This record gives sequence, C-alpha cells and structure tokens, in this order.
Amino acid sequence: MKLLAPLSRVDEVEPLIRSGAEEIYCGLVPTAWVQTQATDDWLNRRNPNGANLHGLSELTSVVTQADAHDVPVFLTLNAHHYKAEQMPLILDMARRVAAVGVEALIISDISLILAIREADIDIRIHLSSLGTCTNAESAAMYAELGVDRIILPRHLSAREIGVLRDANVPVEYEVFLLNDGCAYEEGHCLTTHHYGPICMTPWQMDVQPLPGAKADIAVQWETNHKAYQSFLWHLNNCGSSNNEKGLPNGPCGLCALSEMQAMGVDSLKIVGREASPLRKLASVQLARAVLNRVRAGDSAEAVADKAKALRNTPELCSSTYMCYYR
Amino acid sequence: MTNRAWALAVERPEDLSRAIAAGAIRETAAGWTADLITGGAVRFNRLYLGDEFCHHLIPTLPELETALAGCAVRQVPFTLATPPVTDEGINALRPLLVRLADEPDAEVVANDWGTLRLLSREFPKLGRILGRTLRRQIKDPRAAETTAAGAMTDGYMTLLQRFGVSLISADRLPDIETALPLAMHVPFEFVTSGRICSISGVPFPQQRKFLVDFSCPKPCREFYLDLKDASVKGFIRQKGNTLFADNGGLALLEKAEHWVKRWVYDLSIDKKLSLLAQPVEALV
Repeated sequence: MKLLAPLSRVDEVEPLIRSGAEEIYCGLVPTAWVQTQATDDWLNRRNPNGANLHGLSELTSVVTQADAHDVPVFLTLNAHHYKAEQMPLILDMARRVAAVGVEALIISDISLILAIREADIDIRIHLSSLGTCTNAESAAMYAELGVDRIILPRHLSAREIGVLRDANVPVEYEVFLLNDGCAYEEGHCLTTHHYGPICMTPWQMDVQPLPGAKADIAVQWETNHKAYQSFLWHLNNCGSSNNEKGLPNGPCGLCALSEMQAMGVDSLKIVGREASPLRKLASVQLARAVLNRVRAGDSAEAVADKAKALRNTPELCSSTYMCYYR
Repeated sequence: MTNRAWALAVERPEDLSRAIAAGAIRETAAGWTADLITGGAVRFNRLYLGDEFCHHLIPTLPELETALAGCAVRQVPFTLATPPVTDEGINALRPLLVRLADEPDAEVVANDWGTLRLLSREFPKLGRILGRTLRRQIKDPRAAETTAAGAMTDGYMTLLQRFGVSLISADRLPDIETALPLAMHVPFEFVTSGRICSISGVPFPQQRKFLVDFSCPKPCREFYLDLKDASVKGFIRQKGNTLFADNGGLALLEKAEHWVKRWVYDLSIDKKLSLLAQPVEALV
C-alpha cells in the first residue's frame, strides 16, 4: 500500500519524497492547449496556471529526480471528457510523456482510454475517480479495456470497497486518503469549477411538498439544511484551516488505514495539486506517520488513536463529517 | 395526437396512479394519454419505471410486477430505468432483470458500465439504452453556452456496439452528430448527482446524516427543493440526490426533431406536471 502525493512544481519532488511520498502525480498543460482551447476548457480539471507543470522539460526533471528514488510519476489527463478535435493533441502528448518515463496516465474519459490502447502507446492507465467505478462488473470492464489501476470514487464506504476488492478483478485499487471533499460524485457532475463549485452556491431554497408529506417538512428541512452546511464546511477542508501545528484540516481516511491494508488496497491518494508546497508536505508527513504505524503492525485502534492524536482536533474528528470512510 | 413516439417515465407505479387520479393523465385500454400545455395530445407508447440517479430508488419486484401488468393490459412495452450501482446495487437489479428477461420488447436504461456489461453477458435479449450519466457533456446552468459533448470515437462506438446499445439517453440538444438515435428527456436536464444526498439526511440525527452506505427512508418522496440564485436562469430542481435544470421542455420538440427517436416525459421529476395542460397543480 503506497502513499501517493500531488505535485505542481519541480522543486517539490525531493521534499515530498523525503517526507514519505512513494508515488507522485502531477499535471502538465502544453502551450498548444492554452493557445487553441477555450479558457474554461481545462485539460486536467485544474487551472492551467495554478496546479500544473510548465513544459515537457519540467516534467522530465520531475521524472528524473523521482526515478532516482524509484518513485513512479503519474500524469493527469483526467478531464470529464474530451472533444473529438482535441484527441490528436492529447494522443501526441501521451506519446511524449511516455517517452520521458511517466509511468501512468490518470484518465476519466473512456474514449481516451480506448484511443490510447488503440494507438498502442506503451504506458499504464489509471482510471480516474471520475470514471466512477463502483462495482466489480464495471471494474472488470475497465480491466478488459486495458486499465491497470482503478481510483475509486470518494463516495464508497470501506465495507463497499472490501466487497469490490473481494471480487479479485485483476486491477490495482487506489483510494482517497486526505483533503478536498466533493459534495457530488465527480464523474456525475456536469458543472465546472471555472464558475466555482456549484455545491457552494448560496441557494434561495423553496420546499415543494408532495402528496403525503409531513406537515412540518419545511421546518425539518431547515434543520437538516443547517447540518448540511456544516457538512459542506468540513468537505471544504474545514474552511481551508490548519491545526495548531500547521497540519491541514479536512476530509481524512487515516482512521481506516488498517482496514484498507487488510483489504489489499494498493495506493492511498492525497489530493491537492494546487495546494501550497507546505500543505502538500504537511499532508504527506501526517499520512506517512500514521501509515508507518500500520506497517509496524499496530492494532487498528492504535492506528486510529495515532491519527486523532496527530490531528489534535477532537471537535472535528468527533463530528465524523471530516471522515472519508464514515 | 402527434406522431412523435413518447414514453412516460415514473419512479414507481404510484406516481402514475396519482397522475391518473388527478386527471392529468388518461388511462385507456390502448395506453396512457395526456394533453400538453402547448396544445396537442400525446399517447405514451412506452412506460419507464425506476430512477436513473439513486440506487435507493431501484424498484421492488412487486412494483415491477404492477408496472408490467399495466403494460401488458395495454400492450405497451416496458423500460426499466437503473441508476449507478455498487455491487449491492447489481445484486438488487439482478432479480428484476431475471423477471424482465423474457418480456417482449423490454429494455433497460443503464447508468453504469457494470450494468451494461452484466446485461450483455447474462441478459442478451433485453434492449439496452445508454443512460444520461454515461453520456458526457458539461451542462453547467451558469454557463452561457453549451459545451461540446465527449468524443464518440470509433472505439467508443465499438464499445457501445459490443454492449448492444441501441439508443442514447439525452436531455440537451447534442452539438455533434451521434451515430445512434436519442431518447430525449423533458422537461429537465440533469446537472449533478452523487451518492451523498442532502435530502436523505432529514430523518436522521446529526452523525447519521449524509452517509453513502445506509438504508434510506426516502424522504425525497415527500418534497422537492426548487433552488434559485442570480448565477442561474430560472430555477434548479433538487429531487433527492440530483439537481436538474429546465431544459426547454416542449420548446425542444421542434428543435431536436431530427435527432430524436423517442421523447421521454419524466413525470417522476415533474410530479406537479408542469408540462401537462390539466390540472397543473392538482397533485399539490
């Protein structure tokens, strides 16, 4: 079970690996994309200027540095979907990054998966969480298409992941471990963050009762809505806050690490390519400290206690709204 | 009566019964009919049962039997709408598919690649429709223009062929030629969906709200939310775990005629019957 870290700058490679990262993922937006595509048409679900490497030479430097530590580098091509006219540019990019040693592409669009396999580009494919693979039949289909690893969506319980893992589909599984929740299912969300997250819209809400509704349903909704706003706040990294040691608050699966290990999960994803270097390093160090206890053979309870002690935010942990695996 | 092919989509048989009791939909020996608000009557020559977005709303076997009995009397063919599913969702679908397997002209709308694979392997006689969650197109209600849909490459079409897909569900005009005809839903297009449902939290105490792995008492059957904000035109309707935007409803009829093989009226999202002439508020 490897620890996968996000990266957006060349000078993050060494610190991330020293902090405990065992796999790295990053994005790259070629100049040709920026010059030819609409500004709200993002290549990899992150703003081209904020969370991406610039140029193949930067990517080559990242791969070379990581390779010296036997750490593989994965590249995101994880837009919800690509248009037909974008495919040639993306396939050309896939060939180039494979040639410089990127080990895998993270892809959501099933058309691109098929096109890369058809083009016989020698590179592993990791199905993005946007591929929304939530059952063994779906996993088997992706395996048949040539997918090597499936990044499971955020919204599966640990029990459901276990059921899926037990089906023994010949793929690796990666799960979310830290940061950045989503209110909706990414793969089923047809909006774009270019306009801001739609889940954070301060809607004016009008309850429309249906036949058989309880008389006080609008009041019940109002109470529930307050709880939902609190839930969204936790998903949104607890208002982008840190604890007193600078460790990031927010969605977290650390207490479930022993369970993930027992299930045979292959990789643990830390989210946040666009985050500051400090936030990335703190996330990796936090995760690695707890993972080390799993590897040392500590009990599941001791591992969870360690995670909560490191976080030192009992009020956040006890709400459970911060937990990926509630 | 128009010559367009229309299907009526309901989440459960009770929705149809209520619409009939309210006089919004007429039940005859030959099927179900209704009058549209823009004038003109339609005959629904297919019935959809189920929900495309929430696995808690997979119909029960008795609900399926009720719907099939109604269809058999009127010789109206049947379509089962299915949502994205976990392995347990697949297990919940299986007995329904077994029951449907030999029904003449029966179809399944699949919103999960796993369901499509299952259908092609174990239920080859059932017709297959690509669900709206599997056909990708940004439909952000805050965007001024439609964004292009995902590429339908040769490989993608081969995959659909392998799975025996004959129809693609849609709820917005396509911006590219599709190689397969469309089943166009009105009067709403889906915008976003997910397993975490704010409405499902209503009956639960704080710590049991907004889970993914739980037994849902389905409070979504008690109310919708209509959402407004300056960033969107009109309103967004939240039905359970999914947000929908007005897709132009009947205005689509003329614009999209050449793309569309079948029109699907989503009664289960539009229980107040905004599309039908009479009686608009009868169910409230």
